[in-house]
Amino acid sequence: MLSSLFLIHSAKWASFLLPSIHKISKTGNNKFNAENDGDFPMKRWLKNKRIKEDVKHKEWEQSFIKSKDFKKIFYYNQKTNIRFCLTFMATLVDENIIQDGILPNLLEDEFREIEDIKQLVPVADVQICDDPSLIEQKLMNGYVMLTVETEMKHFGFIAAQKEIVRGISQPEVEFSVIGPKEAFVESLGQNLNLIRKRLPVKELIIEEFTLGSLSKTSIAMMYMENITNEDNVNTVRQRLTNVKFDAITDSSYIVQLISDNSNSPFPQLLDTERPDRVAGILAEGKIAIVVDGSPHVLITPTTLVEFFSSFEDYFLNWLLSSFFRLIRLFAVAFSILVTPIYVATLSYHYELIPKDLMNTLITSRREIPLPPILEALFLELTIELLREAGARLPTKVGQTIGIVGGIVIGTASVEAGLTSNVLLIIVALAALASFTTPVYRMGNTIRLLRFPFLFFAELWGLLGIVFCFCILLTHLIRLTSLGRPFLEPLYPPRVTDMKDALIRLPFEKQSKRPLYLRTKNPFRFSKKKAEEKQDIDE
Amino acid sequence: MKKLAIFFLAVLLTGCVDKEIIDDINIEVAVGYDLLEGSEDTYRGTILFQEFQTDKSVINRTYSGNGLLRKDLILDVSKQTSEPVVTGGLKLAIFGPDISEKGIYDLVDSFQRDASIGARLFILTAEEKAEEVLEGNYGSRGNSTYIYNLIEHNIEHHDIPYTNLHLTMRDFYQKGEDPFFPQIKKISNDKVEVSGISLFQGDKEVDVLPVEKMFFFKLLVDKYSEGNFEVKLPGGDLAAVKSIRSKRKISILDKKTNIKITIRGVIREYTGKTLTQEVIKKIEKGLEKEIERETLKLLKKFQKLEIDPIGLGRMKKTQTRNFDFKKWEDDYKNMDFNVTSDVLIEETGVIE
Repeated sequence: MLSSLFLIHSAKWASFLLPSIHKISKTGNNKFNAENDGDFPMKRWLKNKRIKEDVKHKEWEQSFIKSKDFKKIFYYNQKTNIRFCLTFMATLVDENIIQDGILPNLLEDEFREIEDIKQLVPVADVQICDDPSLIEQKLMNGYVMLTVETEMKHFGFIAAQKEIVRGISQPEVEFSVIGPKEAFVESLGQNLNLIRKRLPVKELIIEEFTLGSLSKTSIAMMYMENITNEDNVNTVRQRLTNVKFDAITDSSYIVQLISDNSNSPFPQLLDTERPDRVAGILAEGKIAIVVDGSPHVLITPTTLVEFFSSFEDYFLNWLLSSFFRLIRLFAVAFSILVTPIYVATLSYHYELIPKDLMNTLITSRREIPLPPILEALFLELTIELLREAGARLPTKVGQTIGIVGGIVIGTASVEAGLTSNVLLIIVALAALASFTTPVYRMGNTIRLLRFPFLFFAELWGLLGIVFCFCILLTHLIRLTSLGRPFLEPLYPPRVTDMKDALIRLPFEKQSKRPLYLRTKNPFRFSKKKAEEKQDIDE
Repeated sequence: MKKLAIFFLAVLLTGCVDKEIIDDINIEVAVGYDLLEGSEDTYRGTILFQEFQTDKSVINRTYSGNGLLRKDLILDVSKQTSEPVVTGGLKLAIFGPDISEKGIYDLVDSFQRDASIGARLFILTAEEKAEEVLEGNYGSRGNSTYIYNLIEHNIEHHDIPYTNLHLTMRDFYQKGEDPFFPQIKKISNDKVEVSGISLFQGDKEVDVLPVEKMFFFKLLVDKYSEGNFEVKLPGGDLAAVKSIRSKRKISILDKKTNIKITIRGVIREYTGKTLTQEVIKKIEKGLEKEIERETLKLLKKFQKLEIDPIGLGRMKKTQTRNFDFKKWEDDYKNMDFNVTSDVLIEETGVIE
């Protein structure tokens, strides 16, 4: 009874103060642990002295010791009786590595000086340095710091990162029925592995940066050394090093921080969660930016048409994928323009309505007290509300909201005479069409673009729509991605790049890499060689 | 700041644009003009509106007013309607017999000045008062749609030559060509029919071609046309020939005009027994003769009436340098015509 009480008590105490030590002392040899060596008076005296020394914390330790997970533990080697110390962040390191891979060797083998860890510790990443400024960074990256009392100027670092990685799952946003089903996860290493696996050549360069004064996010820039344009690489490198921000938690931050025009509603860096797509664009001569902690990899430079091409297009026959691309193009135009055109036509241009459609439109609007613009705004906002509500709620509730909102609100507002059923169909179709964009970010842009168009349609009718379209076009023409024209190949027109823009021609027709990338090696393959018929040996 | 100012200026200026929300306006879909009884120059106009019911049926509403200008009519009618009258939906303009004889140019002119009126407007003449024609109830989609579609399909597949506001205006302004309009007739309160072609000299009606002559008229006037005709064979048998393609070639010499008409047709109906090659030849010959006789008659008639609906003067003008129109008018009166025709029956139906 008493003992069990004690046990609970001690367990509590231990877990509160030293959760890691508690574990170690259970399994490891605790005979020579600093806390338990009460047998030798000489040692105790020494120890007391040392503890006083230890209490005088070094400068770098000052803020560390306030954290509960900061551990600094002293051990004695059994053979040489040398006293060493392991310092680490308990939350960042994998205790199993310390327990099984580091401690047994350090305690039991002949350990005299810090250089010995290269022989003793069976861990791949072992470093020794004498620069105390590195300590903080290393500790925070999940290294265990080893110090020996005889060599206070040297520090050994042993990698023992705890990797909590989500298993590789299917892509959620860019799902495709045909083709690979792997998607990126939140770990930089894992993501780089997924890409390198697909491009096993030495020309694939990975440059690493650490950004964010607080988050210290690792960011990898990938490109093909013999293909990618040097200027592009330099621009990305420069922009990345110029980033001044405290916490970068996702690649979306990087998109906004390094894009050419951050006031544009259009994303100028394409983000993807498909490793196959990244491999594809690296081979084209683009640059990929992988951010630790983000399952989305950024692609740059990019063009507007790329946002409307799904990677599945490359898995399908060129006829099919061209057709789907054209459908998507139509869907986007439809989604942006149909409600504004409805408002413009009904408010200003009744002459344009075919005489057979007149009856339908007028009877559906007869009972509506609102002018077309308010009616359209009301429905558009309803759809936006549904989307926002659906996106914020858990999946199952979200679905219910979608159905309830779509059917109940729609039907009820028509019955109540707030909106006409023709407009309800139009708005629903427009919302549906905006989902056809393969890149989610672009879908959001399209959602927003509809409103200025609506505004101008109300002001000046079709003339206003044309006016707004001109503004949009001007903006797009001025827009660049990494200094390369965003509207290419539509403007400036480039026939070579048209082959993989609004339509996609067969692969054998695309022997050149995109022109606007100005690659070092503009040919994907030799057209001549590809056309040569090889004899079949029989 | 400057940009912002320009933007707000633009927004504020939009108060000047007139809004015409489709359910808050009365769209004029057809208009009819007659001469006011007992008056020399005041006309009586009738405007047709469509009132769409919630069950998608259409009620025809007509409002009438008097005036000297077309604007007077709209002002008069606006006093009676609950919503502002707009003209953009106008599809038909019907002129009664008395006003057609007096001249319609002033009224038609106002159509082309109004930017919201389309060029595909049909101008028609009526055998009775236009007001009466518009007050009927034809079809379920409204009077205007009914009459418009009636004329349209007759132009496309039958014997009315191609006409609309655009071509009419060209004819008005073009020397050496006179306009013509389809004429309609109300046969009962829910039926209306094509009753002929009104021939105009300038903007005044001078004669009406009966329905039987329309096929030949269309052959002369339209470059390519479809149409139907009956051929009576010597034996008393009847054959209905549908022309699927016809072409006319006109060459105008100083004293003589040669017109060659080529027809490719199919036989749709035949009352006799078997349709042998000889019979087909006979039908072809019969039709050729008939065409030559009838078109010549028409041409003589035009000469007598001093009208030129085919536009021979226009054609001659395009081919002659320093064209003297005064001289042409004399030439035309004494012009000799030579019509040849060539009919080829290409098909006689599925049972051969």
